[in-house]
Amino acid sequence: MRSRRPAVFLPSKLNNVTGTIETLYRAATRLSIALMVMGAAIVLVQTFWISYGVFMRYIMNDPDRYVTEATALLLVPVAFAGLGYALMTDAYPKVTLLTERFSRRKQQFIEIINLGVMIFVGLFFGLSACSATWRSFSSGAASEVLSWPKVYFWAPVALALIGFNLYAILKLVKLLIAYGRDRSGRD
Amino acid sequence: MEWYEVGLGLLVLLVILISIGLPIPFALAAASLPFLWGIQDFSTSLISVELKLWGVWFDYILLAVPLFVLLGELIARSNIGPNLYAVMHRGVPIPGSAAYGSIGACAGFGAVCGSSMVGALTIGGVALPEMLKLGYGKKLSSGVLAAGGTLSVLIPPSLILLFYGIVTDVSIGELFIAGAVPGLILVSLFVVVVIAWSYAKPEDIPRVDESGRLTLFQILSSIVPVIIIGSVITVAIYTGIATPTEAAAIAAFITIALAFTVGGLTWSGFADALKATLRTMGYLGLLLSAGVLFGFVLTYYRVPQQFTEVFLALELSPYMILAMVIAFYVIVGMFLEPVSMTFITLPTLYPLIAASGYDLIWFGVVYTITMEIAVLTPPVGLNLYVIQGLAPGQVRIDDVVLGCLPFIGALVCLIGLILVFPDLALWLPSAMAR
Repeated sequence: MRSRRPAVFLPSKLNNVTGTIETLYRAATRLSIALMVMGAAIVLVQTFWISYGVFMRYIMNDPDRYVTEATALLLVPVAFAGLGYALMTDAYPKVTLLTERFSRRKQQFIEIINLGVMIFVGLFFGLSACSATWRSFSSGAASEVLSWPKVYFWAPVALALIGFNLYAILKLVKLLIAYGRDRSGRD
Repeated sequence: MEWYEVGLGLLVLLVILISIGLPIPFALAAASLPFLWGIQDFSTSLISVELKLWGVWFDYILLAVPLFVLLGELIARSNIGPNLYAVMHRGVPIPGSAAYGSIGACAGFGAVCGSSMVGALTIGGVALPEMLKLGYGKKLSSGVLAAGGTLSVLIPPSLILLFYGIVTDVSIGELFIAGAVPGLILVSLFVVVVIAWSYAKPEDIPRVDESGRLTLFQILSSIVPVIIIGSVITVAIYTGIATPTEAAAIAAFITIALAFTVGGLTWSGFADALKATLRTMGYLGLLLSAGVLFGFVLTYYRVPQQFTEVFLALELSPYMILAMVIAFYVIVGMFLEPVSMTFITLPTLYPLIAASGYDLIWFGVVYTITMEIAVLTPPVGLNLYVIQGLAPGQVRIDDVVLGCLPFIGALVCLIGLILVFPDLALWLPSAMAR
């Protein structure tokens, strides 16, 4: 999808900034979709692997010793892979009974505040996941049975949270520009 | 800080954040963080969150969540649900067959899908236009379908029971099995509501259903997939052959095969089902992670324990406590959707229920029924809006709300029955344990 050209009345420097933001926004969108696809692929792998595990246990009488820990480890990235995609598709449950009564301008303002809080929470979880990735990488921490390095599972979580924050920050910047443009238009 | 200051502080912050439209997972986390930083410094809290996230998500039991979500989404995008509805009413020579067929199809769909909204959307998407075309009353048509969707969360598998089991640490297999008999009783109660409706307002139910009967092949190809998928889940869990996670994976695997071969699932539908699964996991992932933080803060300050002690000191009868808890959920359920409600309220309330002497499996069934009432009560009754959204030009939201009232009455009756005869919920799990 091509970006919309910035409004003509904006100074050329601001036009460049909005153009850059649009480019980054599209990149963040693609990253969120890519992470969603990765998560979907993992869910399919889990489905087939667990089914195979049950088949081997009962039909072949040769239990798969990897399946339980491996599929449980894979759940860690799945839990966060859809974060950005959920934000893109407005899938987070919210109660809008009160805010629906506000004027459009107040609703825009509340949306900016809410997105700010979401970024604050996302950054905290993101920092925690990045710290976990770094610490598991440097310590070489591994899972108990299979000894798979934990960094393999923390890294996608950190990437998903970075992707979410990137997308949310760019969305916030776009909202702020639209809010400011709206106000200057009214003035 | 005293426990009641923390409890009240969390409550006030949550109410403010949720009221301004902040998505619930973020509200839960944002309300918890100031109190978390009151316990730990920032760098310790980062490590603490890391340990908690790993602890909660590196969990084979929790793996059932994405698998059951995928299962429901696959069924929703195939023709399995609509075909089931067609078999249940076409050519059945009984007045009101489409209404009874809707209940039957919702029950059958409930045996393969654990989400109330997906149930209402899938069966309602086919049944509502057809019922309106056949001349059924708007209130009956919309009410039976909005209420019918709730069968999905009582008849196993059930996402609400799954989350309840995760929060209360009760066997998910036993919870699923406990929901089976009450689910079947609810189907019967819904049928009784339609029969009563046909006497009270005969003009809402057309006398003759002239649609032709389906061929034997069409009937078999519609019913057999549901029987296979439903049996895999229920029998595998009941007999102990498989854990709920394994049952979910096998059922999802079989559903993929059946949906492509006899269910008319397309590749684009398959991709949409996967996208919808990850979209749901996106919010569930954060909701559960935020719920763990919230739970940690509550537990650190001993809020659930102190809350329970205060209530027990009042020496209220267990029935009074149960009535208050149910009333609380019905009221809160008007404003919050069930999954969020589970993670926000249950960690504080279930110790009180356990301390009052109630079996947590039994309460799980009662809790799920109150959640069913929650999705049928305005202003935030999810199923009401799902059904109204299926025929926005023909059905008004007040038609759906009024149409649901008798079915809400049936749900209240079911709570009463389970209260008087607890074995309705406990007999199957105890037989399973033997």
